[in-house]
Amino acid sequence: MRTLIYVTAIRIILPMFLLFSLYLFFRGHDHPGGGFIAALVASVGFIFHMLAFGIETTKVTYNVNTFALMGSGLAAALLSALIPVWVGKNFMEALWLPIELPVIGKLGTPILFDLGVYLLVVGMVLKTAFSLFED
Amino acid sequence: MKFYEVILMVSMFILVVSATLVAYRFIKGPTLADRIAALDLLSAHLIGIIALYAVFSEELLLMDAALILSLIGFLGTMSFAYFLIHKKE
Repeated sequence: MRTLIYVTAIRIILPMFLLFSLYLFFRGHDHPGGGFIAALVASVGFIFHMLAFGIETTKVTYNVNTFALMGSGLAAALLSALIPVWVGKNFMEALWLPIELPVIGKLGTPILFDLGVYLLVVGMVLKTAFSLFED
Repeated sequence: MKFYEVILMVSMFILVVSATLVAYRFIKGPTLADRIAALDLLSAHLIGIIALYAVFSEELLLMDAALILSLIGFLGTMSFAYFLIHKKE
């Protein structure tokens, strides 16, 4: 589907998708949002790019490796569960860093777990979309 | 009840009636293209209803839900159109 309006619009809109996804990701602890829906928004952006430019262009441009995304997501979630055990707390207990960043807020293991969910969902959705559109 | 709230209620009523008509077209529609157009219109109606309810209940977080629903609805229409084009080959 190489219509001029769609291709031009996607090139401008895709960074906004990613920015909105980042906003949803960091808002997720206290408000609606979080890793899952942020990953859905980001992968919808990549699916639009794929519809406009073709699968091979998207894979080459963004160097997408869906299995690596899924694996690193699972590894991040496991790491966030194991860090408190290493310190001496319970399994999957939330640990927070004492410093507070200006925009993002406090950092801790729940954010690492959410990052794992994010990477896993992006990998899953993109893998599904790639195999659907390759036929 | 203020005039403002009356206007909100009336527009909500119009949207619901219109969405019912679109749902009839979605069920009845003879071809697949009719159903795709009806689905796109139905998601647009749903976005309108969510936005009206966000104004009515003063929950601004619902606007994000409307934004994401518009994204998903556009994605659904685009991919249905893609599959319609590539089915005929």
